[in-house]
Amino acid sequence: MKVLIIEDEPQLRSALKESLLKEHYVVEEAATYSDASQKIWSYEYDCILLDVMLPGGNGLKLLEELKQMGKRSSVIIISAKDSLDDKLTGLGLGADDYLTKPFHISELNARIKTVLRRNTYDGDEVIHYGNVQVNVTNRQVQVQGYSLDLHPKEFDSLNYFLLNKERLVSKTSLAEHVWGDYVDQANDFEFVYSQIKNLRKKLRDAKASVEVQSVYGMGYKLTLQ
Amino acid sequence: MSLLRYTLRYLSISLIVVLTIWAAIFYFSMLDEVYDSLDDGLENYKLLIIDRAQRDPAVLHHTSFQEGNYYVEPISKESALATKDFYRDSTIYTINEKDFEPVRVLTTTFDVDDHYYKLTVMSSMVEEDDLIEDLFFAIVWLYVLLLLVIILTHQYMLKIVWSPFFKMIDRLKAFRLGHDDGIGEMNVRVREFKQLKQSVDMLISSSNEAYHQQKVFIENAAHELQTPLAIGINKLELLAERIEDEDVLMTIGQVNEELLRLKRLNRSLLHLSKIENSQFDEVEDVNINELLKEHLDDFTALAEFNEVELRMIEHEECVVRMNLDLAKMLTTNLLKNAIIHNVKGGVVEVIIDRYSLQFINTGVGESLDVSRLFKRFYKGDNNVGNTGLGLSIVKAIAAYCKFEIGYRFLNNTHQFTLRF
Repeated sequence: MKVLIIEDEPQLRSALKESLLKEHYVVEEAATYSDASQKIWSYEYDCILLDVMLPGGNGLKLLEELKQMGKRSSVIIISAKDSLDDKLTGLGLGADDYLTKPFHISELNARIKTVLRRNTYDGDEVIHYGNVQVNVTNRQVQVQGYSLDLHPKEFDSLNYFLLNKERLVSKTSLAEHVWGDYVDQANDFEFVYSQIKNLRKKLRDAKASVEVQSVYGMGYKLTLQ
Repeated sequence: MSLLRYTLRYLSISLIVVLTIWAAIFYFSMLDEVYDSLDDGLENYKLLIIDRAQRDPAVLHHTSFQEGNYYVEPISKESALATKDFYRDSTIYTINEKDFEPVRVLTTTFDVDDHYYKLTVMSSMVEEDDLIEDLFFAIVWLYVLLLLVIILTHQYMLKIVWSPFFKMIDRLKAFRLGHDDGIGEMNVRVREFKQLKQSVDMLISSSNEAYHQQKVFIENAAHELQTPLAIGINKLELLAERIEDEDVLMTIGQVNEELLRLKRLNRSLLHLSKIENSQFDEVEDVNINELLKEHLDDFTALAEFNEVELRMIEHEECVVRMNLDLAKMLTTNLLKNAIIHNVKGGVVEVIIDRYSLQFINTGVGESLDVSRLFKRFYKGDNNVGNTGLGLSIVKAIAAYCKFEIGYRFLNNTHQFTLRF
């Protein structure tokens, strides 16, 4: 998978690059509008992370260029502006998703994987990890062929972990992803612990070969036993 | 106190003082004039009697007042020469009034053919108490009349002269900072009012400018903070993946929490300024019942963790025409508030009526400070990590959508009521 990061802020670009390399993507960068334009005309990318405000032009114009070229790259807009107009324009111009800065690394991972899957599979999709099978479309989980009964929020948590497998998922990021945008106003994410405890117990009882590990002080990590 | 009453108070007091002093001076000068004229009359009378006594000895036998206003009595030469003309006030019993009336009396001496006589002449005098009484009533009437005239002129003047002033007050009352450009044009002719209008216009335009600048500043500052925050959070998350040491991880976790708090604060400020800048103009029919069912589901985990029971009581279906994002922000903030500021084993009740939504929760057993409750950064208890902006957002949304938001403390519960 080849990913292009179009972002003018060097520090953010390097952080994104570091994270994407961990997912074993091929990563390229562009810092300006012209640089980015040149790259998307010359090469093919599976996914493009696009900042709206760029030196030399509006990032949304790059979407139009992509359309003109008829390229099928997945595009995720990353913007400092939580603007509905930008979001609607961007999605209208063919972007697949819109993420407002600041965001969690794991949230970006999840979004990238989701758009890539959507554009690759089209249809029922089953993720295998260890002896766990997760059907994202009909929200069924099976361990060694036996179905596992999960609460909707537990399923969402497991899915989020799978999108970030073997990566650190902070409890805030998890709470925001599973319990919605507005939960981020809550001043305490400790309640996530009790939810994860239940999920862990169900996985253990079903003798799953995966495990939700606690990362001290930060959050969780889904690993193989 | 109204302008009319205020001016009248001073006018009426000064009028009383001036009129009283005036009455006293007037009374004494009148009295002086009366004495003067009476004494002149008595003097004249005296001369007439003496003159007559030289020719008509009958006068000398007039030894009591009786029907005349004088009497004569013979005295020795020594005492006659020692006596001078002497005026005094006295009283005399009058038959018609059946009472003692004041009189002015002149005592003098004269001689006829070396016989000395003492002459006493009297003249009926003005009754002082009657004069004072008449004067008093005259002054009271004058006072009342003056006040009446002043009130009437004043009222008329207030209407005519002060009309631009009252108009200005009305417009200032209706003025809302950030919404109105000014108080509009006015035709003012009086110089002082012209100056007042100019000052008001200047004050308003500078306040408006400051208000807009502040709004723009908050929005820009919040936007500018997004990128550095993103870098900080992302770099820290990446760093945490490389660290094995639990102590270091703990510290990273704490720093991360602070960054996330900053992020929440920043996002809340952005929401506030967006609401105040009216950037949520797309409206739709929002079913409050459905919305809250979703929220209750989302908040179950938080409520369970806080050991708070969530109850929803639907009396009727409530559909409100408003922006969906604002509806979500409004209800989640109130619900979250009710769960977090609660006690272990407490209850949150959400009551939905046709035109109202109520959140009732148990909590600390005292009323919150209503005057500061909806202000930014108000924190009722020392809840770490709380932005203190939740209720300001609620207030801003309610104001924007023209809903009514109220708080009361009743039966040991905190009750927030929204009326649509």
